[in-house]
Amino acid sequence: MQMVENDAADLIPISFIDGEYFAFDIEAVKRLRNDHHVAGILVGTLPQVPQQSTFLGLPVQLMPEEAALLVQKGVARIIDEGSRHEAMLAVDENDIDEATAKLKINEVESAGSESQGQLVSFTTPALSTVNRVALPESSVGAVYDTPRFDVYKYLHERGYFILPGLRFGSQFLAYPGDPLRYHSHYLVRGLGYGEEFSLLELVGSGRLGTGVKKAWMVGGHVPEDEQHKLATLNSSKTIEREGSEPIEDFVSFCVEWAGFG
Amino acid sequence: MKKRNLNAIYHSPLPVEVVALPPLVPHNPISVAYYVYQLVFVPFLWGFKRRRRLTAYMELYTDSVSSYVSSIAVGSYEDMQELWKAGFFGKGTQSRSDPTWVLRTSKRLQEASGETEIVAPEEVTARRRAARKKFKNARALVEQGVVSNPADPEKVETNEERRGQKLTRAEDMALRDSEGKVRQLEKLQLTFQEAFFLAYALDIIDIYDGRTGDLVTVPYLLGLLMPDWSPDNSFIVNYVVYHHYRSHGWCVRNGVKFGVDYLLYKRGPPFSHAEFGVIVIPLYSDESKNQLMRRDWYWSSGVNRVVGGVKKTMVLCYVKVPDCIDKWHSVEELLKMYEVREVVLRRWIPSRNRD
Repeated sequence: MQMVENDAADLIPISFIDGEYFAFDIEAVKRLRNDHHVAGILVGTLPQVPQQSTFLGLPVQLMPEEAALLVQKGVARIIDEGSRHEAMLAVDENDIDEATAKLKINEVESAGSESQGQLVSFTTPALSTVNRVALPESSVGAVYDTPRFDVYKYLHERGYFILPGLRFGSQFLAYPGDPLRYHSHYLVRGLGYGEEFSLLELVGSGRLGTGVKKAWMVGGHVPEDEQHKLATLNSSKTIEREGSEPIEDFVSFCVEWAGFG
Repeated sequence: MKKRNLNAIYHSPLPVEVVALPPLVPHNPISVAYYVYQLVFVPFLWGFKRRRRLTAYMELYTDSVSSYVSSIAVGSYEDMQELWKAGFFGKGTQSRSDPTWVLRTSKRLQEASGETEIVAPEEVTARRRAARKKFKNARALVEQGVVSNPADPEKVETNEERRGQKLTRAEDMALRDSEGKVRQLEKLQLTFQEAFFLAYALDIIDIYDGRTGDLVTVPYLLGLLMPDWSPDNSFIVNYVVYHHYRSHGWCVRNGVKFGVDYLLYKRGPPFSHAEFGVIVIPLYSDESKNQLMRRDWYWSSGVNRVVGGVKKTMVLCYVKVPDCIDKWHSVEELLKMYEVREVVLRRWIPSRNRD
């Protein structure tokens, strides 16, 4: 897995709080949206209009798949805010400047040595005496090799914006461009190879998609020993993009109802 | 088009006759005599002209292990009409639901004389789609800036109209029998639950094996429909739910077109749209198995959206599956081992649900 070597301070910081991933910094959000076509969902209250939930502000919440892909591509780093918060509290007041300086050094060091899928963590001088590892229970590593992540990566490589699809009962919604400019084209469901799903789900999701002018897409990663079957299916060429591997071992289908109305 | 009197056509909710016993006033001899007459003699009189039993034929397929039922269908025209009109059982194999193929084909071949006033649901749909297409064409012309007189509809002739002007084709000759009327080539296909309900619960249908012509008894039918005698066999679990709602007076039909297991109608499809979409979920006493089989929030949200979009309510029907079903001597005992409980799931949107 090739990884672009970025300067540690250049990595987009993604905060990991209580099992969920957020981006608090507006510059980070802009970079995510413009450079990496990751939109995310705004979940913060706007101070100007606090008593409503139609318009929300920072932070942007990211799906675990988004965070995992960004880490895999080497453009972002995860910050475990829980441990960091406790670490900051444990720092002695007199040593604040010293501790802050050490914090920064540790961040740079540990970011450079990360391996794929590992949560980036750091320790402070005060914490090093305490026997504790700053890893949360579900780190980003658990997301890789799931059907959801495979289909997310497949669509992301092809330039789609992908948002959560709970509103339509699917895993994701795929937009051909910025969600503010386009309606989504696909309701996406990722499946494992050979995983069964019920006919009722096929009919219901196809109907739901057709009713809202979308197609229901199912896709899954094909293991190596079955990839010879793909030659007949995937007639289109894969898209080469810089800095990431094109996925040649993925197959997807779209379902729509005919004869509606 | 004369509006049909639906209450006259679909007057009985099930294909059985019911005798309402009059009130019994013990000290009044006339009342007693009338009561005894209704209780004893009326069924006795009926015994002579006994209600004709309906017939259905069962197709099986066999593999190396055993035989499986592939379909159960009713072939005779009178039986089909009776089953549909009293309880809306089954689906016509050449129609949307109501077995109207003979009627529609006769009309198409311009044969039927007195029946042109009955409009089949397929024709209603075709007319609605043709009207919609016309409207869309006219709207497209207007949008393109073509200055056309909207009161001039003759230009926009749909394909259906062009096709309808042809009369009979060469293939249509095979559809007629020796007298020149359209043959009854359509069947009413029953789902397994409907067939078992008619055979066991109502006892008005005889099911014959399609290959051998033998009568299939109820226990044998049950064995064919549940070849593996596991408590959570999908046939028996679905049948328990079907029987439960039918016995409460609902008209129960298959709900695959909305992604649910059953649809519940108050009286039937011609009267109103279905009110509820039922999803059957088996519940085991082993909690770990329940955890294994549980569905996720995405599924629930998706089904709720589909069902809510067609103005129905989603009902989750939990069927408590017994651990083993070895000890029963009658079908009634077997059914008593299962328990049914419903949960209604409705989505409440504060901005929309204020009234």
